[in-house]
Amino acid sequence: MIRLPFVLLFSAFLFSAGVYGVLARRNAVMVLMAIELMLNAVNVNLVAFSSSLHDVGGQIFALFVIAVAAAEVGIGLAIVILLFRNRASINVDEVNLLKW
Amino acid sequence: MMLGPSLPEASSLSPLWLVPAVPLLGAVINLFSGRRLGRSAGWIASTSVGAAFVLSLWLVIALLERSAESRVHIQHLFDWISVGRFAVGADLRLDVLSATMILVVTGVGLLIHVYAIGYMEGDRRYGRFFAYLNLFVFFMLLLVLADNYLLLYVGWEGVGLCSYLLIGFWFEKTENASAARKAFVTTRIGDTLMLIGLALIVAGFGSLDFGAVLGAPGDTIAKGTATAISLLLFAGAIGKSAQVPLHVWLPDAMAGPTPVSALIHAATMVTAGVYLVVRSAPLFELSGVALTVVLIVGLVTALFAATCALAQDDIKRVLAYSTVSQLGFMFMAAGMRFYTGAMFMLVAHAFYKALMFLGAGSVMHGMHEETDLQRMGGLIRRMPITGWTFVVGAFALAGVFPLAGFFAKDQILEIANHTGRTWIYLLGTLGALLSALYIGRLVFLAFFGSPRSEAAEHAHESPLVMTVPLLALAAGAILAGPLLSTSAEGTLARVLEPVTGPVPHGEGLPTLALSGIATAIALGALALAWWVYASGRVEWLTLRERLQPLPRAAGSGWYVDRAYSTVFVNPGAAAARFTANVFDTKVVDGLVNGVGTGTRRLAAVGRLLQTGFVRSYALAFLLGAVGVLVWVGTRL
Amino acid sequence: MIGQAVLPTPELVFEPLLPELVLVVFAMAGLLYEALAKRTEAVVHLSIGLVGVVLAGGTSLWLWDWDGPATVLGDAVSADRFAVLARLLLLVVAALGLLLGHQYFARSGDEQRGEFTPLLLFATSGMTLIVASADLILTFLALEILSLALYVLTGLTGRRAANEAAMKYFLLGAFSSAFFLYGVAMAYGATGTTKIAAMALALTGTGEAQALAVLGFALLAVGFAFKVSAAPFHMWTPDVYQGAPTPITAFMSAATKVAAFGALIRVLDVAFQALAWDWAPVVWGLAAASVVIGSILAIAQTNVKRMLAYSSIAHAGFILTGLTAAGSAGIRAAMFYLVAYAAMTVGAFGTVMVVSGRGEKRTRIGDYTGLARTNPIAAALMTLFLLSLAGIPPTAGFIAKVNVFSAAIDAGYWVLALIGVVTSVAAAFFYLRVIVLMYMQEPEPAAPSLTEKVGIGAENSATAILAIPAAATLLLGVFPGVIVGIIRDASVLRW
Repeated sequence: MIRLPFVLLFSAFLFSAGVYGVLARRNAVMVLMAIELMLNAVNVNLVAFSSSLHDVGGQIFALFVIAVAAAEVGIGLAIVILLFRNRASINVDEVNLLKW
Repeated sequence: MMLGPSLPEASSLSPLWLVPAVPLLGAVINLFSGRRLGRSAGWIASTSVGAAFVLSLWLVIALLERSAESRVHIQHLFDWISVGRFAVGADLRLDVLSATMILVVTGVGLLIHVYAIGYMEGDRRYGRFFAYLNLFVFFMLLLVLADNYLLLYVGWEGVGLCSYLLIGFWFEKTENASAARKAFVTTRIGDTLMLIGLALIVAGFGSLDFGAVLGAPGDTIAKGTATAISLLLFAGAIGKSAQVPLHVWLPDAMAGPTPVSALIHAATMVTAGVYLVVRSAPLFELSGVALTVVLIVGLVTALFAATCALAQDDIKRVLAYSTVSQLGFMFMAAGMRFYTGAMFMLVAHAFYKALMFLGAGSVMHGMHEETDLQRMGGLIRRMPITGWTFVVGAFALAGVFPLAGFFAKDQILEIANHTGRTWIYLLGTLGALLSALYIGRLVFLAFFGSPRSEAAEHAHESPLVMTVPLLALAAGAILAGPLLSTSAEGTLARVLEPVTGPVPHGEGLPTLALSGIATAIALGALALAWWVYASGRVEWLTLRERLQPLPRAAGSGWYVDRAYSTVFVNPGAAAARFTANVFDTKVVDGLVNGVGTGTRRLAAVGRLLQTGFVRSYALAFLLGAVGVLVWVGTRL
Repeated sequence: MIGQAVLPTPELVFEPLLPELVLVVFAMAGLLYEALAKRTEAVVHLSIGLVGVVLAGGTSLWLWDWDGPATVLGDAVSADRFAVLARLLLLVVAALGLLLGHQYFARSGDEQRGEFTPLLLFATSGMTLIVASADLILTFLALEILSLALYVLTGLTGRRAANEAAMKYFLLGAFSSAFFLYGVAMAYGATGTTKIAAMALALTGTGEAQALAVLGFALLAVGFAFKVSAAPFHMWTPDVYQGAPTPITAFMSAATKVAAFGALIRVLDVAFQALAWDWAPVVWGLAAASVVIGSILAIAQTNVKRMLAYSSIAHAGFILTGLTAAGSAGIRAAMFYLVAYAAMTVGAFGTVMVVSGRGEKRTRIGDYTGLARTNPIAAALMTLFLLSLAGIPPTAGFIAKVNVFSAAIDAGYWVLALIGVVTSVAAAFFYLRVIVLMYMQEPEPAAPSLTEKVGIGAENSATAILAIPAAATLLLGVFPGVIVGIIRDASVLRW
């Protein structure tokens, strides 16, 4: 059986990779995927805790998170499509009408 | 001292809240539909104050029907603020002291409102004027009826605001706008100190209610604290009542419409300082030192302003300095614990000074806004009602028996003599002499002798709506003295005693002798004034030239204004001008302005962090999160 | 192992969830109407929304005297008066948002916005759910419900600015949700539960897992700080508030803050109560940063919506200032502040909407020059709301500030109170500057036609709506006593 700290470290790494993706990617869809990565890192975390605590709650929560993430992607893509229609680009660095 | 709470009964005094509410209603009506109402705005305003007057009269009669000890009625309207254990309610207090004040405010106020109907005729913002005037009456009533210092302070600031709005009512003239600003800023100095005083009261008593603070302050706070509180409150009074050294705003405030000068800057608002001192008397007495300060400030002001009044050529400025001087007399009385004397003088002064201001307004009305005494003369033949009522007012102020001012001033000087304050007595008598001189000068220059200008020859009497209030006030100035001081049971002093404590006693010259001296001085000074200014036997302008530079110095208020300008105002103005220039240019450009360049620059740089790039926001978010985690982590 | 465990079925008591159920039902009704009706009328949408909000309000009121269990549905939903009061406040804001939005879309004249009402109701249901949530799973779900609806609302008009705002709001919001979720997971790992009550019990013990719990709290705080737009997690606020259609800005600036603070209060003062010594400094730091950054950066703004956005950041700081005082004193101060803030911010953005005109052309501060001449009512309303935002008596904002400062001082955080007082004085300047512009200067002659169009006639009904927040702002400033008793009753969190 894999020990808890390793799983936690793995999920922390996954989360950090997601954060890096959000910061480094210019393509809005890639940013969206990076955020999904962060959410799934937490899912790993939840399931790990659930297993080590012998409590089913964490796994149920993970299912909820997956559902929420799906909804989030739906809305995110809709906004990105509108962005593309408005500007013919989904580069987030070109979007800075509102500033200062 | 009767400051305990009264029983919450449903008594004949329960309509008390209506007294301030009715003028407020008038103000609201005029504010929102003044333009549509046209001329009736003035009548609505006057009716509301009249109703408040009738109501006050009724309430005061009901109050006086009670026995002397139970003449206190406290009306709890609602809980206002409660922060933790500290609570302030909106409570009104009707006792003999506030009763006196509301009668003066509504009574004199009513006459001035009626007068203003005629005076303000044809003004572009007629309705607005009456709205402000009514609003002023509301705040003034709130001030005197408040049962705690916070509500009093609300009224205090409210009347200040109305005063500001009304002095600058004709704000198109820069002179008026700057006078309004000056009044506002100057009184603000006092108000700020007063606010600190209120904070000290809260710190010391944990309450702002009169009952809790003034009942037995010695049990709760030390003498030193009482001195600090009293002096801070008195600082507010100095600002509001235009005492030295904050007197400079009042003469300039005469730029406002004359009814405003009469109501706010003579009869009511400026006396709020006297009211505050009399109301807070237990604190001042506990301190002792504070009373001495009040006495000295009052005395200095009385003499100082009287000399200034003697050298003014502007009829309203004479009256303004005269008001400052008379208020000084009131503070002198209060400083000698002679609170009833201060209140007596307050009432008497309200009558004769309002009378003279309205008379001056009537003169201006008849002479096309002329205010220069040198261009008047002989007006009594052109405008007899104005002239003779003015003479009544002037004689009352000079202290001619049996007019109101005689009793007022005579009593104060008598107390000074009887309590062994010989110097105060002598200097006070000098003040009385100067008062008679400057008011004699004013009367004889304006109304007697021969006309010295075209306008003076063709002056005309004012309409009835203006002269009737003059007659009523003249009657008041004649009758108030005897009525309030001679009848055995009903004297103002006796009525006020439960609140203000007994009149101090002592030995000195017999009363009759003192009265004789006072009358001789008043009549002598008036005669002198007649001889110099109206007999035609003295070239007073030549005389004045020979006495230079004294008259010029006095005329400019002994250069106090100029000194303030050099020391405080000019550097401040330079700073303000700088800000204003920055302000204006930036605003016009739709850009930024400065609180101080530092903050602005900081803000200008800081906003650049907001790049508009979503990824940089995410980075800031991450840095913030890391910061929080590190912060929490180091504490583990 | 897990598969063999028999899941205990909680007793199903649905009443405390009625307001949310009502809102969702009416939101769906609105969707069906939009989908099935041949020709849709904006008024029908509005009435569906208003009826839903009013019914939800009625059921909330009924819950005030709820005498059933303190928490229901397996300790996931709390039925205390705190939730009721917060819900009522949210519903009033939602009603104002619906009314303002109706005016806004009627004025703009472009295509019908059938999805506006359902989305706003969904967002409101998420908000009312989050303030009642007693389980961090539910808190997360509610947070997502309200956020997802708000992302769409922000970009509703499809204009470039609105679209950009929606994109920024969405990306950053999702980003912060992930942090929040990570925090929930940590807290779950530390205490073995996501229920707020059980978490509180677990943390009062000696607890060797304290470090994990504190880290969890820190991440939760980051998530909440984002939602309430506390610095340094505030960057999205100015852009989103400026870009979103003004009535939606009005709605979300008030309602999101109420909802997020409601949930935050429950998390701080119940779940992590035992760790108050650990979280108070974090709240302290967020509060100080928010008041300073919000107040200073507001000075440099040239757009009114942006200026108000920075002001809302500063106000988040003031509310956090109150919350540094753990326990009911802080809760009471924060709740009063939220009520006052909701009234004045809806009012201020509503007035901005009235003034901005069709297509939001007039949102620069310069456009307010001489407003007292061209639209005296709007100028008067704006003055009132700005005075309240500046915290000048006799307005609600003043009393609210006094409350939070005295709560902070009583808790010993007088330095924070001092920072708050000093920055409020500095901040008063930028509110007063707008007032000066409106009253002391003549209108710009450059835009006479616009001035006329934005005149009084067309905007009467929108202005009438603003009478409600205006009355509340004044009432709470002059007679704060009217809700003190209610807040005292509601400040007891049951768990």
